[in-house]
Amino acid sequence: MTDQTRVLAIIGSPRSAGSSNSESLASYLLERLGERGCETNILRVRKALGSEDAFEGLCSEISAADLVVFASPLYNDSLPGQAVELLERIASRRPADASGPRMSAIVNSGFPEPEHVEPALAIYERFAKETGFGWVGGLGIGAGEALGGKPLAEVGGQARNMRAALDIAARAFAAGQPVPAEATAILSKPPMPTWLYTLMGNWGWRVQAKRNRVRTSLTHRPHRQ
Amino acid sequence: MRTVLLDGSHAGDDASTLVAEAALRAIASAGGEVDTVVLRDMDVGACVGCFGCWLKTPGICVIDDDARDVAKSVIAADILALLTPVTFGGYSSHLKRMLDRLIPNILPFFDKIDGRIHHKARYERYPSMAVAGVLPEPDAEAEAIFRKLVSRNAKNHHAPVHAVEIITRDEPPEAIQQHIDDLLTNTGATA
Repeated sequence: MTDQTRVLAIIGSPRSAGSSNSESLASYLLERLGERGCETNILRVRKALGSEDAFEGLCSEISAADLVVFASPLYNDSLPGQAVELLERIASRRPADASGPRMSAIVNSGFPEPEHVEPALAIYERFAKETGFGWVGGLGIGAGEALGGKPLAEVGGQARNMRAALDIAARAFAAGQPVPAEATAILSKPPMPTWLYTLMGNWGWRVQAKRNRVRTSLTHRPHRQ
Repeated sequence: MRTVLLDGSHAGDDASTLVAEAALRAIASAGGEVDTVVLRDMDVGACVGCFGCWLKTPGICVIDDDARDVAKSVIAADILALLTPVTFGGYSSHLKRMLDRLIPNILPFFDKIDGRIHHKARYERYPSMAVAGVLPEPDAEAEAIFRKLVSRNAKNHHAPVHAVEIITRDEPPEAIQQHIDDLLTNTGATA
């Protein structure tokens, strides 16, 4: 046994590392925690649901952790279906009097305004309460899709506030403290003006569609009404 | 009036069965058609976040399973009725998986709707949303999260009207029927 703080990140994105923005954010946080002497580990929801062994493995990692950080994209104002399934399974396996570890969540949205993630963070908090995790606050991030799944350190100015907020959160987590209001405040504004995000985003969709040769059919209506 | 009812309840959930039956009765007595989809019995894979439904085969998910047919019937419906146990304030995983697979029905493009960025509509019209959430007991916190989620969700799904009813497990059948009648009236399903 060591007295090192053990931090487990659970990635709720169905994408793999390199294209998952949730993983970019969580990995950055874990690296900062590692620098502060924490022992870190990262597991993925899709894999954990793939077999009974993998799920059991995840449960024992949770039991051994001091802090669990769920990181997921915002799908339809909430967590991806598979992330909900994992929470349901964890809940059904936890004893009624379970207590700990501490828990946080990072939710990133493809929309620029961070307030889109409010229901998803509320769901994580409620899960924590119902299942005896110690909720220490969450981080809601706008324009997550703009990261392109790249390591956060390699993304320029548009990730500056994300890095700053995660630096602050890492310092607090390593000291056993909750998410500071300072970190939440940094993230409370869109990382770029919404008009610019709209313009760049819409241009980006058209470029990708052209590459796939579906530019003219992008607005097709395959179903009759 | 066509309703698609997505039943996101878990196997053996008697309260949800009562709610679904009450909905079918109310819709039938109003002369409407209903297509019930019991999601736990369907083959609905998880969205993989590939955006293929926007950028490769516009309007159709790249995963060929039951969710494709459901997405098609939703767009042809007047009412999208959702039934779910309120799960940590949100939808059950059965329902959430299916809702994630409805994004082919909207466009990737961003637009400001009521002051916030959302994805643009692909179709000319969308069903209104009638949502029934089942709780084990009265629970103001879970109910507040759920109501907020549905109202945000209705905006993203371009639902012209949406309504929510919260039903608790111990309510008698008449009370359940009343909730459902109110729900369907409030969304115009039984008009």
